[in-house]
Amino acid sequence: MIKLFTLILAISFTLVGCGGGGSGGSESSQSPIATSGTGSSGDDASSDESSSDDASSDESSSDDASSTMLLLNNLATNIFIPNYTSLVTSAGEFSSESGALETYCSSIGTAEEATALADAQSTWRSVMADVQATELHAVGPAIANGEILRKRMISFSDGALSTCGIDEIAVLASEADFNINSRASNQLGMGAAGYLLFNEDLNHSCSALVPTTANWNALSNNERKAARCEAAKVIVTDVKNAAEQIASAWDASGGNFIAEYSAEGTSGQYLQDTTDALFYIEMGGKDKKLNIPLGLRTCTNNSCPESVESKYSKNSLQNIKSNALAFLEIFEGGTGRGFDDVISEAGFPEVNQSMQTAVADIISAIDTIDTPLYEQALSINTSSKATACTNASSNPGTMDLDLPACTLAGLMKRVTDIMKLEFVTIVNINLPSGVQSDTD
Amino acid sequence: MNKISKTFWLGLFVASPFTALASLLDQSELRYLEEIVVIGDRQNVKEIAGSGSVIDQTEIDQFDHIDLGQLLGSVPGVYIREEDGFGLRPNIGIRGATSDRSQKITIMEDGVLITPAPYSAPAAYYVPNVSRVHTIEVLKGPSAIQHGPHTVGGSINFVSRPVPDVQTFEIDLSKGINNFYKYQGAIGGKYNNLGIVLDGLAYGSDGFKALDGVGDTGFERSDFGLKLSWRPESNIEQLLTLKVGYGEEDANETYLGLTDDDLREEPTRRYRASQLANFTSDHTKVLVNYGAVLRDNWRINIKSYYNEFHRDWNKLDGFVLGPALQSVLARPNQFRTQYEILKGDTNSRPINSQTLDVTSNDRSFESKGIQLSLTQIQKFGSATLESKLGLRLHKDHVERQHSPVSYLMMDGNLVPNGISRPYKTWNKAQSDAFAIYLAETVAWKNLSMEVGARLEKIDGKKTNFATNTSSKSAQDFTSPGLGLIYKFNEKTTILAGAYLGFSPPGPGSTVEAEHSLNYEYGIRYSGPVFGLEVVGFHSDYEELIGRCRVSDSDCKPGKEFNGGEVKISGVEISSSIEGIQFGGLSFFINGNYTYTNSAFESTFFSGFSQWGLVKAEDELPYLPEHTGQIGIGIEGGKWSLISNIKFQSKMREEPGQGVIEEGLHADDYVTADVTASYFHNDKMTIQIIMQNVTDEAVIIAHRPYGARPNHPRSLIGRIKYQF
Repeated sequence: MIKLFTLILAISFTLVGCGGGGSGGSESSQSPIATSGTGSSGDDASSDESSSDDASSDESSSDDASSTMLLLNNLATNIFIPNYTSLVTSAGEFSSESGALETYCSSIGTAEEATALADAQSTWRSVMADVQATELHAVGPAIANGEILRKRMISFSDGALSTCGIDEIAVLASEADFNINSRASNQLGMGAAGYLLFNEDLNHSCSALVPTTANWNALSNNERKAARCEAAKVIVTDVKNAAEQIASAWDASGGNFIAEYSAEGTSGQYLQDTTDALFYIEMGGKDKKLNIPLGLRTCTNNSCPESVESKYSKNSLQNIKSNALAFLEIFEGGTGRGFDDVISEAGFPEVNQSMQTAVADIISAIDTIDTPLYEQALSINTSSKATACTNASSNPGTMDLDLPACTLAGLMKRVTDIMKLEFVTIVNINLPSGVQSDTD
Repeated sequence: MNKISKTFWLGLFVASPFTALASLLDQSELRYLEEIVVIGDRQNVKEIAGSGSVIDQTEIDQFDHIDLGQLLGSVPGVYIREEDGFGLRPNIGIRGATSDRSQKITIMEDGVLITPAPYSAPAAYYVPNVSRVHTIEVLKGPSAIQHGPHTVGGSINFVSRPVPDVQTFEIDLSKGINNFYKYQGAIGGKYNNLGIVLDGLAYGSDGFKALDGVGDTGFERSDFGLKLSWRPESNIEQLLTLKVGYGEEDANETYLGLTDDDLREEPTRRYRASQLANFTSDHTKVLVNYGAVLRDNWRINIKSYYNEFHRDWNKLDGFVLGPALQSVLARPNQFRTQYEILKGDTNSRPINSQTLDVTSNDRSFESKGIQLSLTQIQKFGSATLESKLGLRLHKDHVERQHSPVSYLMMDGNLVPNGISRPYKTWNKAQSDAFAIYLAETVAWKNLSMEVGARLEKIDGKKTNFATNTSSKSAQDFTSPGLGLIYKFNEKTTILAGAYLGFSPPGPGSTVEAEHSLNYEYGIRYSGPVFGLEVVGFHSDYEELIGRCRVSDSDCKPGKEFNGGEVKISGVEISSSIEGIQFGGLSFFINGNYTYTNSAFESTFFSGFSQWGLVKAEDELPYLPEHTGQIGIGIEGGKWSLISNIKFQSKMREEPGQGVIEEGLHADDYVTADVTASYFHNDKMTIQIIMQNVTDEAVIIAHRPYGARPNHPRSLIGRIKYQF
């Protein structure tokens, strides 16, 4: 019926010839992109159709679900589960009777101590890299029950370490009835192990009123080093156990979470959960690890160096590098279907290129930075320094040689800007709670 | 001050009414002392410099509509997006200006701004109850700049019931299916120099939607007004009017729609997750209006107004964490658990992605101001010069306090989980605005030309109480306009005009102001039997503004985005044939049609989820390409039978081009309303009205959340008695 009206009345407007449109070299206040993407993006919002279109609508929706299921299954099979399995292996070896930790523990007080400590510290960095990779896919078993398993591997997302609590573990770990599961999450994970292995101040950090550590400072250096090493073994073993539980929960022969994760009926929810986890690059990588310590966000002083992750090991920037590498792997889906495929199929390969370039810039920048993040944050102790950091962050095209971490923060923002606009729009997901839609 | 502003002030001085010239005020215009009309009557439409329409009392009465959207169907160039089916919260756009929450048009009552906070919260989508309205005027084209702040599309003025010249008592009762009722009464008259009219309205319905299980989806509204006028005996003609009004609403209305499949199966269904939806509001308004003819050629009008509006909408806003409702309803196969929870078929597990967020969206508004207009008419031989100066000082604010409560779906009922949550939104936006308008209209022989300009100066402030931060903004904008009318003869007129339209961003916003260069051109023919008007329009937008609402994902309500350059063009056609006599019967037919074409000029991604991915040449969402209405009527001696047939083509709900079905879109539709009236005598009229005779059921939109149906077939009986 409407077509009849349209046909009759169309005669009128054709006489007027009021064509609209026409493209020009206009500029956009949003995110301009190349115009190679033509035609429908095929995104999911197109599932509404008139009754006559219902069949095609269902088909489209079904295709969309299949595509999502394929993506999720690949991510789980080829990235998530292998990452946990790899962590089980690396943490297991690290804490085993023949591992680097045991070697160090045994060498304390001997001529090999320094070499063994260096080896243990090096191995810690390697295991930490494995843990950092899992932060980008904290979905399903890792975040069930208040994220208990995730926090047993690394608790940075939950807040600052309780160094006193870790000191208590050093005292208690050798006791027969000690139970690591009774400790709070801010005393666990690779962050806690890093404190034990890298903190050169052997005195405890508790108040004098804490009875557990009352006698600690009276122990000899070697006794304290040994106690800390034993505690590190317990904690790293717990990291391995947590990773093992997660891997088992995912595995088809275990908890088979992978089946639920990539099922049609839950694929929408888990796609959202997965992209929420990927936004760790914004909330964890950019804000918590860089912007807050550098005073660029929610820091009441010129800077907040105490907020630096892994400040004892000075591994902060390497943690971010691990995050960036894992982010890129998930984005690309490894060798299988990834978000880049979704974006390419929508007609925006240039967005993939932008993302890959932006991540590569982060990695390159970190490789050139020698001054640890903690020290850089400490150096921002005047308002002029704070202003310089803000400027460096706003102009990441040129590396600030004095405050390169501030430049890095700007490079991170390039990635998160793409995430918050192009990625969210093309992949057709929502921003996770807590992430602002504006590009800062 | 920019260059345009300087030009404006220079023009103001030169054309000031104080440069008195011998002239004469047309005494017949005394009826405009109140200046509550912006056009006048249907005849006056032909005189304004631009296109416009008047819906008079007769037309409002024809179908006993409570829905402004239905009434505006007779006006070309106006786009309506239904939301609740009753028109309680209409989305109205004009000539391409977005219809979303009527935010881009200026809405007035009796010539003053009537929306709760037109500067600070233009997207409050409030309109007066049309059943109490005497006349509706729609202004488009260059004349629109007389009434800001939003001039990109046009303006709508609701004229309240006038004080009757003689003692009048009126009672008007309607009753319909779904327990629809509308009771209306008025009493008034003039007593020496005093005039009074008191009128009241109460209407409501149980709603046409059925909440799964048990529940009321209806609404109740009441609205009362008192108008007092005093016309003292003095050497000059003057009139003082006081108008006060109070209205309330209680509606069990929700943002939550359905999946497409569910709507096709049962259009009037509502999911259990919407069971707590409730909207309450109260509105107080006061207007003091003084008008006088100072000398023969001078007319002055001063209005002072105050509006206070408070509303609280408790409604489902989504899941505490997890998928957006739009996503769940668009892809229920991928969000099966959440979909089942919305329906109440599955119990929630106590996790955030299955916990429902029902938020009390509490907002308090205040709007007040004073405005003055000065009109001078001078004659120079065969030429007439009318000068008009308007000034307005205005303040308004909105305070938003959105308090979420989380619920679990348990056995079909929403059960609070007891976890307290902080305010989602707690802020206050306020604006101080100064506006000045100047127009000169020269009429010489068959040519009439109006040159005018409007200056808006707006200072805004937004305070976020949750973060204890605030931001300020200041903007000024000059809108010049030019309109030409040439009368070939008494029947045929051509018109052309151009103006710069403006729509300001909200207080504290960092986006650029939306402005558009608008052109129109057309011809009017008005014969004794046949009338035709064809008007083409074209708008070049710069920095189109998109404004987030609660239902838009990934942004805070009120947050604004620029959409770059946009071109919108179209043609409006309206015609009528009336006065045809045959067999003792009188026949008439009228119709209007609007064709609209739009295109974004650039390719970009927007954080405004209604736009998202935009490619150059994409058409704007919510602008139907074809829309219109045809009216047919037969009138006998004591009866009449009238039918209005409305149609609209499929409408995009996201930017796109090519085949419309490939993107999110609303259905096309054709609906027909029929009204049969019996005029028992000159005092009593009996009416039977059937709306949507064919019971056409379509998806009218997928926003706010999911597919929404149009109003199904309804039957209303009405009796109106007046003496």
